[in-house]
Amino acid sequence: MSDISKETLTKIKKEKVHPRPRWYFLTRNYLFWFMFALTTIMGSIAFGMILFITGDMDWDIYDYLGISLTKALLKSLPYLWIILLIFFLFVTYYNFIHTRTGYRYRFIMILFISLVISFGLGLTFYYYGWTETLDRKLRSGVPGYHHLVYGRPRQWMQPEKGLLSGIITKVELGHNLLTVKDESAKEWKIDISQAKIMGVSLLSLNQEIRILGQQTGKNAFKATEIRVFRGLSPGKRRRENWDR
Amino acid sequence: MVNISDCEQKTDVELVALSFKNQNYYYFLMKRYESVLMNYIYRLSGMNRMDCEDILQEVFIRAYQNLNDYNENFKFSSWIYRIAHNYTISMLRKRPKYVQELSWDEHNLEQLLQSDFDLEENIVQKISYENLLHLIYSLPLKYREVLLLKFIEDKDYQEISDILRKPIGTIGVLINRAKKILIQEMKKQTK
Repeated sequence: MSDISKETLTKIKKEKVHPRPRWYFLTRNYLFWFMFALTTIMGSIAFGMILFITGDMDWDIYDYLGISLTKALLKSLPYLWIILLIFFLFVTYYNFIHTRTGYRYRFIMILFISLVISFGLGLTFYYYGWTETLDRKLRSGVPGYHHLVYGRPRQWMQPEKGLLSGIITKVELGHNLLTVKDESAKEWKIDISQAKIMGVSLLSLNQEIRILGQQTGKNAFKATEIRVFRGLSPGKRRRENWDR
Repeated sequence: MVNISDCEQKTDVELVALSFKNQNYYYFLMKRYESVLMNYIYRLSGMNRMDCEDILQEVFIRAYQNLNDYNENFKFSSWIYRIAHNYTISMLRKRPKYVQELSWDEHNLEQLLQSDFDLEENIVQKISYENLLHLIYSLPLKYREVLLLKFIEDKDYQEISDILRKPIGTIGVLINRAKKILIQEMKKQTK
């Protein structure tokens, strides 16, 4: 066998090969840690959104519509966010095993830790209402988002099935009438003469409400139950109560 | 001026540190691993000596370029084995026809069988060296590489884990599975 070591040293000298600088490797390692942290946060947001969207929905109305819970679940789950959560968990795993010693840990263990962090952070995001804010921004600013994610607004925009939601723009208590503007800016005349009002004692302008009842005309609806939008995440609700 | 006898006393970590200051020290580091890595590449790839030498040279150059990536908390041997392993595998993927060449010698195989394989004696006697070699080479690479590192290169689980960048638990599972498959195949051959 030829002296490979000698030949290699000669080649190294001749071709002026030098070790790459230390910062190159440190940067690469930190980049994986940074990506790990970033994807963990993204996964947490996805989990927080799942919590918000499922928690925000009114599950009892499926009973009212005569739909089983299984069917209701299949229809209402925020699939986009579930897929994103799974995707970010795997990207987190990929980034972690590419850190200097990440490969020493088992897949299940890394996945479990990522899940725990995502759940913990996601719960925090949900508690402080950040996911609620994000959901509103996505619904108003991203075209097609409300088609991708079912959520409460779509759940209550089924007037033909007796479900309607919107903001009160006019109150005529003497005539037992409300004017409500729905998400698509369509105005509805709501007959509240036989409605049970839940959540508040008095209906007022700009209140966001959800109405159970029956569509009686193109723009007319007869309410049997009115629910005032609670819509705040636990943290926000608590702070509001505290301010009062 | 590099003193040869002085270098022989030095640890790998010391030689790495000195190699940054003077390239000649890297020669002693290469010399220390030349034959073990050559054998490893040869056994893993089944390529001919010339190709293995080319691979080894490239491995040493890559190791030198990445010297700053070496972490002193790990064994230098695991680190350089990993470079050798990865580069050999990448070459095998480019030239898969070489995989079929057989290169473990009889002594290696005896070592493998005498280790904790727990085989019935009659199986060992009945199976020929060529057959056993074919059985080993017919194993998927993930099994072949752990058998090679554990029983031929005599690496412990931690070192194998660092070379293959897999968790220790996974290494244990792979070794056990490889052993089971090999024993099953040997039994089939002797029937």
